[in-house]
This record gives sequence, C-alpha cells and structure tokens, in this order.
Amino acid sequence: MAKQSLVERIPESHRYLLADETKAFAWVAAVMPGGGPQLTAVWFNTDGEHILFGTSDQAAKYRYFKANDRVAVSIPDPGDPYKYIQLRGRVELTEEGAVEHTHALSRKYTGQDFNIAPGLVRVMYKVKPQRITLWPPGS
Amino acid sequence: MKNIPENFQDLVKDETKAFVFLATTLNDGSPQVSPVWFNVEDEYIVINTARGRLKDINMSARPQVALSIPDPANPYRYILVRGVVDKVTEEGGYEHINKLSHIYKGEDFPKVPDQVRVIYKIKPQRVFTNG
Repeated sequence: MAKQSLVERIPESHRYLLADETKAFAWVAAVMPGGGPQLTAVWFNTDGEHILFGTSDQAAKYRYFKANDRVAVSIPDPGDPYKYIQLRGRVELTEEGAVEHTHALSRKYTGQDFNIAPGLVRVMYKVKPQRITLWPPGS
Repeated sequence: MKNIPENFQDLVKDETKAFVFLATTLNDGSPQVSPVWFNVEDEYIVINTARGRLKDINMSARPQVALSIPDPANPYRYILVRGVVDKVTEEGGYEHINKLSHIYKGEDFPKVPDQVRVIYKIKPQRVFTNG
C-alpha cells in the first residue's frame, strides 16, 4: 500500500486547519540542551508532506533543532479551541527555498512580503509527522 | 499572579476561558504539546490530567515545562511561561477537574470509572509576553 501523505492522514474533518484560508497558528515545541521544552507560536503552511515554518538563523529554535530534531506541534482552530491537530515528529532544516517560503507565509497571514532584515539567513523547517492526534478524536 | 504583567492579567482570569498549550518532554528527549484547561491558585498555574496519560508520565519524571496562554480573541497576543511542576497530587483531583469543567463549560465533569485525576501546580520561572 502506498504511504499516505500528511494531508491524506488527516481526515476531512480537520484538513481545513492546514489550509491557507484558515490562517491557523502552530505552537511548536523544541527541546533545549538542558532537557526542558521550549514553546513558540509560528506561521506555517504545508507542502502536503510536511508542516513548514521558518525563522532566521539567529533564532533560539534554530540552535535547539540543530542539536535535537525532535519536534511537537499543536494546531488549534483559531475560532474553536476544542478542535485541533497535534503531532510529533522530526524536523529537517534547510536554507534552500527559505526566503521564498518566508514571503509566501507572510503573504498568507498579512497579504504582504516579509521584511527580511539584511544579513540574516532564513531557515526553513520541514516537520515530518510520525504521530498525529486529532481532537475531537475519530471525527 | 504577581509575575504576569498587569496588561496580561486578563488571560489568566476564569472568565476569559483561555487555554494553556503545555509542552512537556518524553524520556527519549522528544517534546509533546497539547492544550489543557487551567486555573490560577496563588502563584501557580494549575492543570489536571488523568494518571497514566503521556503528560502525566512526562511531568512526573521531568518537571520542566513550557506553556503558552493565547488570547482566545487574538492569536498574536499571548503569555509564554517556562516553569517547573512544583506540586503533584491526586488529592482533590476530581473536584479540581470538575471545578475547571464548570469554569469552561458550566457543567459537571463526567466521572470515568477507575480514572484517577491528578493536579499539577506549575511554578512560573520565566515569563514572556507578546502582543
């Protein structure tokens, strides 16, 4: 059987949470070198296989994920906190396409290109989900 | 709560019904994040889960947590907290989840046979705000 894509693994009932029109935020957890978790809110979209988000190479997340690629993400419905997608997996970091992706995300949420500060390198994070949990379940 | 800035105090009030997004860590060094109900007691953020759930296992073994409290009306406005689970107790566990159920839904929390509810009192160590 062909392996299902991320989007295929999410039932119709929750798929809209990944759609650009929903403009949902993702809460992303990383693990710091000392072992404690770090949590931040990010803009995101999907390429069908991964949850994609971005930062500059100066972000704390960048250091944490370089050292430990384990990630957890929670994507709540902006209008209904009782509805969300939760996933755990691993993240891959790349500079390739990161600038274009930054602008694409900014256009999704603000309608405009992003103002990238000179001298900062953009990094794209590609989250490959291993476990996906939905709430409410089984809907 | 003294350590939450004045202009963000509304997010921890019962009537706001904001959620906590709680990040914990598994024993393999990976994180978990999930939304939970909470209330504030003295200087603690208090949450409740059932014994044996992943959050329970994680917090019992590794008390460092991170959490956010987003404004239900504005996702760009939130409190971020790094803290530590300072107290864990089963005493009054059902009464507490029932109290949260009344705050959030205005109804009793269903009693599940054999389910043991556990209270976690999280002491904030660092607080950041956005928005």
